[in-house]
Order: sequence, then structure tokens, then C-alpha cells
Amino acid sequence: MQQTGITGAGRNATGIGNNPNNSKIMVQDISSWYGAQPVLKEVSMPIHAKSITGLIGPSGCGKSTFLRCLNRLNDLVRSFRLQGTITLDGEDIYHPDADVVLVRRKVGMVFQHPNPFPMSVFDNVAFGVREHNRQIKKRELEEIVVESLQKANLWEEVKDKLQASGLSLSGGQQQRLCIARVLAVMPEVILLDEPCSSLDPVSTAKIEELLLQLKNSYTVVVVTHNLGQARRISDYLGFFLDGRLVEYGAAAEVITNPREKATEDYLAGNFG
Amino acid sequence: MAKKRHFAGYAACWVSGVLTLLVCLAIIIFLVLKGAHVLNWRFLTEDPRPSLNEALTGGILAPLIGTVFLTTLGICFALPWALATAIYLAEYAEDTPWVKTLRTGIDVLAGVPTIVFAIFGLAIFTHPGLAFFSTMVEGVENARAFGRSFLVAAFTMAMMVLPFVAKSIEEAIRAVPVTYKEAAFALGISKWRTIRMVILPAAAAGIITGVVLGIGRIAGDTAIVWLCLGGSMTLTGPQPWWEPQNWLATLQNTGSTLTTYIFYSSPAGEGNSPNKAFGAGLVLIVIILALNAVVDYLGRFTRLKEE
Ligand SMILES: Nc1ncnc2c1ncn2[C@@H]1O[C@H](COP(=O)(O)OP(=O)(O)OP(=O)(O)O)[C@@H](O)[C@H]1O
Ligand SMILES: [Mg+2]
Repeated sequence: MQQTGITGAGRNATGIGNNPNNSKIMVQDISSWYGAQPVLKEVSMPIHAKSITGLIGPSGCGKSTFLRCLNRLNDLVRSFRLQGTITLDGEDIYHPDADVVLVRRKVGMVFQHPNPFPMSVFDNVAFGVREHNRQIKKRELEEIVVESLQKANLWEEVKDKLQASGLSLSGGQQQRLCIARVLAVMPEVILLDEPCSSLDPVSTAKIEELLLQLKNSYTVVVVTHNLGQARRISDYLGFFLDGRLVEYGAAAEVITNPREKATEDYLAGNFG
Repeated sequence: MAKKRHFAGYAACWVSGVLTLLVCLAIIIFLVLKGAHVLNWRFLTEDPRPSLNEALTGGILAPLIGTVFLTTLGICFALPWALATAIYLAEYAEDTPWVKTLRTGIDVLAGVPTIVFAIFGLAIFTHPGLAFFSTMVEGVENARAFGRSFLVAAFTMAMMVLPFVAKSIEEAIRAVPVTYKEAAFALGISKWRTIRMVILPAAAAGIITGVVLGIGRIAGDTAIVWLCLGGSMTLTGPQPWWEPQNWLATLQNTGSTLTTYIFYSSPAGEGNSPNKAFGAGLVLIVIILALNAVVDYLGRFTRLKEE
């Protein structure tokens, strides 16, 4: 569905359209600044389709900034500036003709702190769907909402209070509600910024299980401070330090056999 | 020594606090003492009548209706204007010289005395091109009713309250957590739809607060009513005003409000029914206090909801 190109021109002629190893997103040599402060420095990284890419690194190293480049959410920050290219299915998402709204539709995001809308549980999930398809039938909408809540492993807990405010749920439930909200609009990529940082171990385990299910149909990128989590769920792992991508590779490889001293130190818990 | 100074400051704060409260209480008690005895059903449901005998001067029905007309109409004109201004300033405006000029303009407007708005409104609406807004006074040949009417007064009121309403709505919009906006954007929802469907509903209580603030200002203003609505005590449009075919004509004609009623029936104006003036003052204060209570309630309600 909705496979129209984001620049409206089909694949563009940057020559990176046919990337070699089936990557959904290609990040090429990006650097970014907030005002005069440099944050990301010459970062290049593929993001593979239907797999989980984990991003780790000490606080303040630019993981969130990187993630928010992938759906252009940094556009909200006036002082933000970016150099380099990011392509989604071969199309430059920062191209002047690119449709930002469409990019964000394809690249959904779950935030570090659960941020449900001040609406009912049902409306939280239905909102995006309704906005994208204003003529949608009530039945169809209800099906999507139920299905999304089921996929997010939340249905059993909220099926009796769909009309309660989304803000009345527990933190873990709110976070899964936010995941359901993203799933409902059927993005192709899902970005998660420390989705478990405010959750207890049980909720965390539920979300990890969910992410493992999701990678069968979505491309998932997840920032985490929890090395155990990175180990458990990632297929690929990137280690950021001070705005640079110090190490990137298959997760097992990076964890058992890091090439860089800094990665080794970080994994050993020596800083951050 | 330090302790003493501390005590002096404490006492000063305390005394001024008590004084403020006393002034407030004094006004209300005074109005109740002077005006409560004229309050009864007939006072609220009879039109004012000119008479030298205070007992025969009737009630405040027409001014009460006039206040309702003028505040409703004024806020209806002001709200879309203020809302659009606030959305622009909070969501779209960048730091350009034009936006700075606009902000300064709004601040200046907020400081303009209402009597100045009043003569401005009068000057504009007596222009023949805007004749639609007010009807001719019968018997005055080829002359207009000096460009006075509910419509004229309401437009002028809208100009007067615009800066206050727009500023409080802008504040309400800015107070909406940015995380709502991020969440909507991340779902691929356009900026306008995000504003329309997420931000404005989340700011609703603040927007209503701004509206009520504007209503209070309109209900309490005298200068604009005096110049732009005129000095007739009763509605001058065709009667009965409640019949639909007379609605437009009623608004193109003049009337009075509680504030001008107070002026005209007190000895300071040309009236001789001071007790009725106090009664009307009491009614006006009750209306404005009720509006404040609504604002207070909404403020508390949203704070609770956010917790
Ligand atoms: N909106 C912003 N405006 C200005 N500077 C910002 C903004 N957001 C982030 N920064 C700066 O960019 C740098 C990287 O921040 P970022 O949030 O990307 O780090 P992070 O790796 O996600 O850290 P954490 O693990 O603590 O979430 C920090 O120095 C931060 O101060
Ligand atoms: Mg972060």
C-alpha cells in the first residue's frame, strides 16, 4: 500500500537507489548541529529491513538526535542543521521536494517517555488512522484498533476500558498504547527511543517480546541504555560515542568481538 | 536588626493584603446595602421608563438584554480573529521584524484606553460606505444615527478585547506539551491537522478562559457603549425583537447596557434613580464574578486533568 515515492518522482538519481545489502534506510555521512554545537559527526550506517538495529552509547552522545533524523522530527527544532543524506527505499528524505508528512507516515516513532494524547484509549489508537483515511467505516476502524492493541499486547488489559483516558493507564500500558498507536497507521519503519526506560521488568519483557514479533513485518530501530536488552533483541548494533558511530556490525559480532577499544570498555561497563 | 526589617516587610505585605481584600469587600457590601432592596423579579423583567419619580422608572430588562447582545456579538467577532492571531503567533511566526512589529502592535493595542477605541469606532462606522451597520434614526433627514448600533459597538469591542483574548489563547497553545505535537507529527499528521485536532483541543480550557476574560471586559466597558451604542435606554429596533425578521434590524439599532444604565440613572448622568443604579451595579458585579468563577473552575479542572 501507499508506495508512492516521497519525492513524488520515484527513485531519484543519487546512485544510491540500489543499495547492496537490502537496507531499508541508508545514512550517508551525516553531521548535524544544534546552533553552533556539533552533535553528530560523519555518521554512515545502513538500516536493514525486517530486523532490529540497536543503538547504544553513553548519555548525550547523540543517539536520540540520530533517531530523530530518520523521521525528520528534528525539523521541529529551529536551530537544527543537517549535512549528508539519508535515503528511505533509495529516496532522499531531506530532498527539497520530499514530502515530510509522508516520510513520517512511513517511519513511525515511539518516544522515551510515554506520550499518549489526552483522549480515550480507543481514540489514541484510532486518531492516526482516521486522519489518514477520513472516510473509514466504523467497523473497519474498530477492527484496526483492536488488532493494533492486540499486537501491542495491550488488548487484554484495556478491552473493558476503551473509553477511559489514555492518561489513566499505567506507564507500561501507556507505552504499549503508544506502540499500538504507531502500529495502527502501518508504518514501514518503527523508531523507538529508550522505550523501556520508565518501565518495570515485566513491562520491559513484554515490550522486548513484542519487538521480536514486530521485526517479522517491520524495520525496527531501537535506542537503549540496557546492554542486556541490546544483546537480547538486536540483530545489528551501533555504538555511538561523542557524536560518532564508533562501531557498527552484526550484534553478536559487536558484543563478543568488538573491534574498538572504546566499545569494549563501554560493554564492560567502564563508562556511561 | 535583620529580624526587625524582616518583620516590617512581613507586616507591610500583610497590611496591603488585608487592605486589598477590604476594598473588594467594601465595594460588594456597599452595592448589596444600597442596591439589594430594589432587586426583585419585576426589576429584572421590566424595561426602564423615564420618570421623575424613582418608583416609576421601571427595571433593567433592556440593558440586561443589551449587555447579553453586546458581549455575545463582540466575542463572536473577536474570537475567530484572536484565535487566528494566536495560532499564527504560537505556531507559525518566526523571529522576523514583521512578527516583532505585530507583537508590539498587540501590546500597544492592549494599552489603548477604551474611549479611544470608541471614537475610532464611531469615526469609522459613520462613513457612508459602512452604512449597513447602523440604521437611520427616524425623523432625522438624511442623517444616520451617528453610526451607532449593536453591530458597531460589537466590532469596536472586538478590536478592544482582541489583544487580551489573543494573548491568553497564545499562552494556552504554548502551554500544550510539545510531546503531543511530536507524537502527532511522528504519526505522519500534517501540521495544520495537528493544530486542529490535537493542540487546540488540548488548549481548550485556556481558550475558554481567554473568551471569558474577553466577555468580562466587554460587559464591564462603558466608554465604547456610550459612544458607539448611544444613550437610548431601551432597544430602538422594531419590536418584538425576538421575532426572527427583526433580529438584524435590532442589531442595526441601538439600546443600552448595564454600564450605561448605571451612568444614565445615577445623578452623575442625567438620571434621578440612584437606587436602581446600585441595583444594576450589583447585577453586573454578580455576572462578572460568576464569569471569574467559571475561569477559576476551568483552571483548576485542567490542572487536575494534567496531574
Ligand atoms: N533540542 C535541542 N536543542 C539543543 N541541543 C540539543 C537538543 N537536543 C539535544 N541537544 C544536545 O545534543 C546532544 C545529544 O543529545 P541526544 O539527546 O541526542 O543524546 P542521547 O545520546 O540521546 O542521550 P541520552 O542517552 O541521555 O538520551 C546533547 O549534548 C544535547 O544537549
Ligand atoms: Mg536520548
